[in-house]
Amino acid sequence: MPSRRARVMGSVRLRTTLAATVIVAVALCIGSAILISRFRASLDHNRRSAAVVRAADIAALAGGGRLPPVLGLPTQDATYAQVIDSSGQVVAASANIAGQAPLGPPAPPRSTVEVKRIARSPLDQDSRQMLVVLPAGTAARPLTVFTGYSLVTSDFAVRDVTLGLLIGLPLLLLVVAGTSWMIIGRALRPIETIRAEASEITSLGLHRRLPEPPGDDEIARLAATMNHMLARLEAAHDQQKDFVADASHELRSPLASLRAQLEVGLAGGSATDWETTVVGALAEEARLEVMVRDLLLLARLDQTPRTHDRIDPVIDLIDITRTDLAARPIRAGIAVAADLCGGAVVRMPKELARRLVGNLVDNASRHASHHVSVTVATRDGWVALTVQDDGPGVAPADRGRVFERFTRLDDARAFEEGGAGLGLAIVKDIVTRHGGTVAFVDCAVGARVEVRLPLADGTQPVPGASEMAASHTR
Amino acid sequence: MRLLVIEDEKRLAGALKRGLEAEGFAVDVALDGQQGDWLAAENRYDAIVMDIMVPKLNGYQLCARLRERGDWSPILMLTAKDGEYDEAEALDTGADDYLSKPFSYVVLLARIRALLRRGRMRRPAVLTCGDLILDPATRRCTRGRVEIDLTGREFAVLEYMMRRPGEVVTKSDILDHVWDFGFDGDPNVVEVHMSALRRKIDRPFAINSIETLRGSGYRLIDGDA
Repeated sequence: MPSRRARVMGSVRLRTTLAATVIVAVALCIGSAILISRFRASLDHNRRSAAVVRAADIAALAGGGRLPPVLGLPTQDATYAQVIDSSGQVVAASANIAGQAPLGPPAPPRSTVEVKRIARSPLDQDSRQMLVVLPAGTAARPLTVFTGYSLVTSDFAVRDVTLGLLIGLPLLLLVVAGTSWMIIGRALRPIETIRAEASEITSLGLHRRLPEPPGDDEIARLAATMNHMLARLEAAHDQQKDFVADASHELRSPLASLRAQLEVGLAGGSATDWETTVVGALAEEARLEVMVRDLLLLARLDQTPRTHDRIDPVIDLIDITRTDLAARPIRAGIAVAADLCGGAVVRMPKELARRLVGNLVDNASRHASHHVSVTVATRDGWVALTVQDDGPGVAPADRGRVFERFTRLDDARAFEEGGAGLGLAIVKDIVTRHGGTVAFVDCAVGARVEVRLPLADGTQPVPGASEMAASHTR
Repeated sequence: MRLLVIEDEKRLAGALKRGLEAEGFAVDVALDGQQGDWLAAENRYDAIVMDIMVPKLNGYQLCARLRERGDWSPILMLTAKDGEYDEAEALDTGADDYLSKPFSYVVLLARIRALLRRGRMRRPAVLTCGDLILDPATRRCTRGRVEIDLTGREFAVLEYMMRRPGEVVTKSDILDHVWDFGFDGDPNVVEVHMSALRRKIDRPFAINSIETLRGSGYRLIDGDA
């Protein structure tokens, strides 16, 4: 089991929270960068337009020949202006730079407005300094207008916004992370409950069920699905347990009888009738042999895939039935009649078909008073094998039960060789595994069991016929 | 000694009959529960060997029926089941011993001999005295239809007395059988439990079933008489 720390590090909750936070952080950083750069550009642009307009105003004054020696400017801005003539002589300047040297060389004639960055300002400011250079005056007296401005206010504004973002963004991210952690935790809590409960459920506690959260969301559906799975597991487990208990019971009885007969024989010494003992022991051995054979066959059938995953040889059920009836030792006083019409081909391994016919005839002749009749016929794409006896019959309530493993009806137990109750279970397994149905059907006298198997002559069975037979099983 | 064997496996029953007769027992065989019930009612057997899974009337039902009508023949149950609860249920229904199949014939003989030593003494699985009923298996005590809640020690004292109805039991008998060797307390503890028992099983029903015999001890009687 991983440590608690490792579990937290690897948890969906942590990973989802981290992912959400990282995505939000990246988006916010990109957004902030764009915001700051746009903000700065917009501030710079405003300052620049103001300076250019101011230069144009001065140029207009100069062009009209009404240039004052001291240029009036709004003083609160860190701006200044200067006008020089073509020889570089200062003609006019704003009060804050009066008497200073020219800010640059005269602009070449017929040039347009130019805005450039300068290293230091005449006002000795540290911030970014820009200078607008605009040619003015007349052709006879060309002048050059300089207006300078500082970007210090926009730098301050940008700095304030950046600082605000630097403080605000981490706080916002914390809120995002905390909220995600909480919401995801709440969403995952039922899953953790289900997991904890599921880990408690072992093969010993299959009767337990997972808590199903209310509603119909994914988690509720998951819990419901897992509970259905548990129910199926429990049913399979119980069935297996019953089967093992029944099998051990049915195997112990002949063993007990065998051992008692042999030990009684030994204890009796010379007085023992050894022939009786050996005949009795052999009878128990035969019982065990049949049971082991049947159990092995059932185990093998359990592992055989269903019909459509497998290709079986085509055999004629008529041949099988005829051979079986010819070779079978039938109880004294029982007559077996057969009515076999040709062409009853089915897909099934030969030995399984023999067991199918053999078990049905055995079962019928064990319960019959005098007559057993076996019929094989084909109709509607199905092969119908019917075995009828004139015995006591099977009560409708028991007709499903007799096909379960180890079911022996009470009157069947009274028979000398009642079998272990596996014969009909094997019949049912063989038939259903080959796409057919088997059921006891109503009849006037005795019991009538009807097997239907798909005809293997290439035609498709008529579905209705199968359903008709299947309805008897229910 | 006459034995009844109830077993539906004919060959096993036959072998047991041959073997037990060779040991000098008289043996009757029944192949189902009803036949066994009938034979047991007609004859007084010194011991009964029965399979639990027999047709018509199973071993549990037959055993309960025999005990109900006061047949205390020792019963040995045979079964091919191997669950511990099957074994416990068999013994709690009133069987005296239990063997699971397949069993050793030698052990079967030894157990039958042990059962014969016990005799047909009354040894009920559920103790009764008048309408007071005590079931040691389920640890329930009832009078009439009223369930009585007893502590472990009270239950033990009452069980000891109910196994000796009408007999005088002394305080030191009870101390010896209900308390262990390590108990070194006041013998008056018996009186304390006795008055607690009277308060629970007698007083609410206006019955006096526990008699105090001054100087000798206590006697449990059928309180209605």
